[in-house]
Amino acid sequence: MSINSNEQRRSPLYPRRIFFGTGDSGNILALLILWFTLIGASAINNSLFLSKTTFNAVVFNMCILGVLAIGQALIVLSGGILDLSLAVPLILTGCLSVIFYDRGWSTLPLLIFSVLISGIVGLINAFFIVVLKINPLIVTLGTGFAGGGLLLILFDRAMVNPESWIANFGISYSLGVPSAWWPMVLFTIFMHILIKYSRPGRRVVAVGGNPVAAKVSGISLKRYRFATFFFASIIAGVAGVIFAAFTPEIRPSSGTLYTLPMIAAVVLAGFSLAGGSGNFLALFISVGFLSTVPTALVFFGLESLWEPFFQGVILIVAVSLDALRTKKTVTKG
Amino acid sequence: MQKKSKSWSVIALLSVVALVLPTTQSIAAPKGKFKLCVALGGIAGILGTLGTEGDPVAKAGAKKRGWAYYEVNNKLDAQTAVKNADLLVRQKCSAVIMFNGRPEVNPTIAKKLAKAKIPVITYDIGQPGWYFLGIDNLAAGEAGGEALGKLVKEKWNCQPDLVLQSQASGAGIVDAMRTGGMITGMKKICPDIPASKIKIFEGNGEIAVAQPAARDILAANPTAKKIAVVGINDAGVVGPALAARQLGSDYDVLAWGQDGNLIAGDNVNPDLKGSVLYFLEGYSAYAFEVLDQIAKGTPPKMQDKATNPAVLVKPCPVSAAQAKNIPIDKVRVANLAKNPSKTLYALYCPK
Repeated sequence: MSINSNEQRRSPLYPRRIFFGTGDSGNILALLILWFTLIGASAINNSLFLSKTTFNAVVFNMCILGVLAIGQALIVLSGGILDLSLAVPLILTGCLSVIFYDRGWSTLPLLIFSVLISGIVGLINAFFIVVLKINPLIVTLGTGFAGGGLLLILFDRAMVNPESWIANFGISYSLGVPSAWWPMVLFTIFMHILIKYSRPGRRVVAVGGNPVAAKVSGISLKRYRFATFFFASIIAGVAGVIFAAFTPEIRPSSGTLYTLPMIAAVVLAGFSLAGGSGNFLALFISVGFLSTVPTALVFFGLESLWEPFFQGVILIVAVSLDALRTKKTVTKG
Repeated sequence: MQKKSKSWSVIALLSVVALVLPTTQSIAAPKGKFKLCVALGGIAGILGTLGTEGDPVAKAGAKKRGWAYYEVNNKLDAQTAVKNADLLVRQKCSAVIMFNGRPEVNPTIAKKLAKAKIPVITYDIGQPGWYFLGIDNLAAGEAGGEALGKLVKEKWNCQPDLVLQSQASGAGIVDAMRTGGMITGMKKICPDIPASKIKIFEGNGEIAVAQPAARDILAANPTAKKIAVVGINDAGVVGPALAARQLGSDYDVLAWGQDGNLIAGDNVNPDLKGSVLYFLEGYSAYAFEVLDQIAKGTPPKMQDKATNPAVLVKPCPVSAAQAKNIPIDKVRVANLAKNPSKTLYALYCPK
C-alpha cells in the first residue's frame, strides 16, 4: 500500500514522497506477484493460457474497466469516498455518441460533445456533495438510480451502426494490441504524471489526505472537489465511447455491470478509501489482475457464474487490508 | 441540524416521486366497470416496446371495449413484481395480464391474486391457475435450433469446432426451454455433435455480459474456429459473435438468436444469421380471446400449460435476409393497432 499517512499529514502540500516511498513500490510489487502467480498457475494448469488469443482476451477485458477505474480512483484520491453513479456518464456518452454519429457528426465534435455532456453528471454530484454537504455515497447512489431511470426513459436503447468507425474501433488493433486498450494506457500515464509532478495533482492528493491542512494552506476545497467529480465523469464518458464500440446494442441497465469491479480495482490497487493516497501504476496492474481472473476461471474449467463471487471476495479482502492499514497507521500515529 | 433534516426530507420526497412516477399508467374506472390490469416484465431490450412504452395493444383494446385500464411495470425484479401484485389487488382489477420475467415469485403472486379472485393471463411463463398465452418455448427454441442446424450442416457438414450456448439463468425454466431447445433442435439436424463441443456460459441475454464471457471461452479453445452460437435472445448470441470478431478474422461464426430484437427492420445485425420471432409486443391481440369471455362472466376452461395453452402463439423463425422485410417492433405495433382483427404473425411472418 502506498500510504504513509503520517508523513502525508505532516506535509499535505508535498506528498511527492509517498510516490517514491517503499510503500508504493512494495504495493506495486505485491500486485505484480499476485498477477503473475495467477498467470503462472493458469499456465501450469493449461499451457494454452500463454497464447496471443488469451492475451488479447485479457486486454479487451481491461479496456472499459480500466478507464472507469481511473475515474473512480480520482474520486477516491480526492477524498470523495466513492462515486456510485459512474455508470450514468458511461451509458450517456455511449448513447450520445451513437445519436451524434447517426446525425452525421464528424468524429472530433462527436467525441468532445458527448464526453463533455457526460461531465454534467459529475457537476450535479459535486453540487450536492460540495455545496449542500450531503454524503457522497448517498448522492452518487441517488444520481446513479435517478440517472439510470432517466436514461431508460430517454434512450430505451441505442443501436450502434455496424459500419461506423465506433463499431470498427471495437474490433481494431493498433501496435499489435486492441485499439480500445490505448485510452486506458494513456490515461494511466497522464494521471500518474499529473498527480506525481503537477501542482494541481498534488493539491488533489492534499485535499483528499488532509482537507483541513489543505484549506489552511489556501487550497480551495470546493474548486478541487468540483473538478474531480467533473473529470471523473468525463473519464467515465470516454469509457462510454469504448462501451459503444464494444456493444452494438447499448442498454441503459448495462453500465452497472462495472460498478463492483471498478471499486474492487481501485481498492485492490491500494487507494485508501479515506482519501489522499494511491498510485495509478498500481491501478493499472490491479485492473490487469482483475481482468485476468475471469479468463483464468475458464481455463480452470469454472463457469463464468463464478466471476462475481471472486470479484466480491477480492473486494472484501482488499477493503479489509485497507482498514487494517489505516488502523495500523492511526495506532502508530 | 435543521438544515440537514430538510435536505434529507427533500431527498426522500424526490426518491418517492422518482420511484412512483414511471411505474404506472392507467385509465380511471367508474365503479363496477370491468378493469383490465397489466403487469409487464421488465426493461428495454429484453421486452422491446413492452419494456418501455407499456402495452399499447392492451390499452387500445381496453379503451375500445369501454374498460378501465391499469398498468404496472415489474422492472424485471422479483420484489417489484410481488409489490405490484399487492397494488393490483388494491386496484380491484377484474383481470390481470401478467408477464413476469422473474418467474420464481409467480407462486407468491398467484396466491395473492387467487385470494382476491382475480383471473390471470400469463404470457409465455406457465403458472398453475393462470391462463397460458404464448409460445411453446421448447418448440420455439427447437425451431431456431433446427434452422441453425441446417446452416451448420450445409456449411460445416455438421462439424462445428464449438457450440456456444449463451444462457440467461435468471429466466429460469424459460431459458432452459428456449436455449436448451435450440441445442435439441440443432441435434435433430446434426445428431453427432459431441457434448464436449457445447460450451454453456452465462450471457444474461445482454451483449455486455455475453461478449467478455465468450471471449474467455474462445481464448481457452484457441483451435476452435468454426463457431455456432445459440442463446435465449438476439443480444445473447450477438455478444459471442462479436467476441470472435474481436479476437481475429479467422473465425467463422454462425449465430442464430431469438426474439428478433436485433434483426428486424434497419436493425439487422451482421453477426446474426437468423432469429426466432415471437412478436411478444402483439400478444395482447390474442389475450382478448380470453378476456372477452371473462368480461361476459363466462370464463373459459382453465388451460394453464404451454403444452395445453389457452391461446397458442406460433414462433416464426426468419433468416437475416427475410428479416430485412420485417419492420421494428414499434412499427409493427402501430400497424397491428390499425388491423385489430389480425395478429403480428399473420401480418409479418414470412410464408
